[in-house]
Amino acid sequence: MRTWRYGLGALGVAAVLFGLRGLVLGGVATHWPVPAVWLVAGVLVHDLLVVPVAAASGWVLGRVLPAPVRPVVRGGLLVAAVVTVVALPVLSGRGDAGNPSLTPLDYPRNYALVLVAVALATLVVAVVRVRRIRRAG
Amino acid sequence: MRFPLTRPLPPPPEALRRGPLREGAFSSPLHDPVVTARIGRWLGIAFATCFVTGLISHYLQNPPSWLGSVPSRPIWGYRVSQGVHVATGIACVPLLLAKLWAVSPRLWSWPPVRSVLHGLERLSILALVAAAIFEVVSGLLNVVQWYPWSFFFPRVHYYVAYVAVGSIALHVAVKAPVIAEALRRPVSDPESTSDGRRGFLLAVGAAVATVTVLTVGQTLRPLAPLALLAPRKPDVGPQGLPVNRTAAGAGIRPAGPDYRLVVDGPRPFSLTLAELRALPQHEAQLPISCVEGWSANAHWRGVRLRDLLDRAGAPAGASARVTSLEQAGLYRQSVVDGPHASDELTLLALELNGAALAPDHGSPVRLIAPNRPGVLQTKWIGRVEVL
Repeated sequence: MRTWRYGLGALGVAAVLFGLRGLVLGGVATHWPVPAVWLVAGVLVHDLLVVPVAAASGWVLGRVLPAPVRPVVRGGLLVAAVVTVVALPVLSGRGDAGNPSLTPLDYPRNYALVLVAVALATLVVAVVRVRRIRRAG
Repeated sequence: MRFPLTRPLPPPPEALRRGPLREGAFSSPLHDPVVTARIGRWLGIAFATCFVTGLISHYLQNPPSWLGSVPSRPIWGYRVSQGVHVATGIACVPLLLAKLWAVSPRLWSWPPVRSVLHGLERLSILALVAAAIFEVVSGLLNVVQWYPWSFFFPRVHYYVAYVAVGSIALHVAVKAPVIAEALRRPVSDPESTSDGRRGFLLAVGAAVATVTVLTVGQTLRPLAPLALLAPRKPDVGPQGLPVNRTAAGAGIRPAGPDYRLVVDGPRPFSLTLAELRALPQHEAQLPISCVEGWSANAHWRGVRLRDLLDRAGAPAGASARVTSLEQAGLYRQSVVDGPHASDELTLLALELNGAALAPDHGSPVRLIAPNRPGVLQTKWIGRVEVL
């Protein structure tokens, strides 16, 4: 292990400790037990919900779809899932209701449009890929 | 020291090794360092970018004594740095999900703890994952001003950023040989071209491009028509400009004929609205650049702050404090440092885009200065003090 790795590691540990110290000593501004719950909840939701759902859908797709289109459909679903995560806050309708310039768009319509576009793009890529493989094989 | 830290711990009974803990429970070729190192490289760059731009925003809002005055130029400085902060944070959604997916079997490694050192390393990974998810999720909620928690978002987002970046630095230091080796190897084995790794990396890239295109128009005007999922549209709001805090939200009533702008200094004075309008008016094209990642240019007209400070007998380069008519609120006051206070573009604006300021934009008078976070562009000003 070279020196720079020890240096970087020590710097990292110092930064982590500085952050934790700031959270714990932050008083009412940080209210540390609340972020602690959020930190743990984020990991639990990811490891016990997001990963199993992703694994299960990958497994199902592997059984249902022919091999050439499998990675394309997986990719399309990945893009759709990420779009969904990014869209959830604006779709929620939260935020200041008295401020018409905050979340001013028709988000359910826009979200649906994006999903249709992702589905179409996935279809096009899948068709192109199948044709190319047929021609080659 | 070395011996007890790395001494093998007794493994748990083999009978517990079930389900995802079984050997070979995860067979996908995506779970390989060639994939994780490549996504990790981009995620690391993204987090570093968010950290640096986040520090810029933090220090502009909480200036430490060692920093000195921040320059008032370039005009677009904060607009770019905060726009990059939020856009990069949004791009972290696919990068983080893909990175965690690629390494997810590690959660079920066997034995769970090989040695004390291994246990500590896993603990640091827990800190990394928790902090990274927290930063991305809390940031995403903040851009729609959704606060389902009882802490002050900027402070917690700031401290957890140190946990995230620190544990990433430690992780890179620990894994440096693995990362270097994986980046030298080709993504796919030459024999097997159908392992799906390339497709996975392409899909992650497509996801980054998609969410960026769908949101970045809130600050990058040419892409505004494509910003279908952005929480702001740069031309939607009173007088064609978005608003962060409305007059009603701030508890502001329309200013009456008894309104006075009080200017405090060596030679204090106060002005009625008519007197303010009678002073030399100047124009400036300046953006509102919000911490929440949207920004929009606007045309402002009003009195130069430095003209008022000069008239109050302020020494050259003096700082000023502006105070809102708001009774309470975190951002009712802001300090305008020397470089900003003496900048010819810094106005106490009375007009926006050719009409008198709307109540939500801070009527009768608001501060507008170059290279400054939106929350410090104080609205509904009642008082200016020379410091």
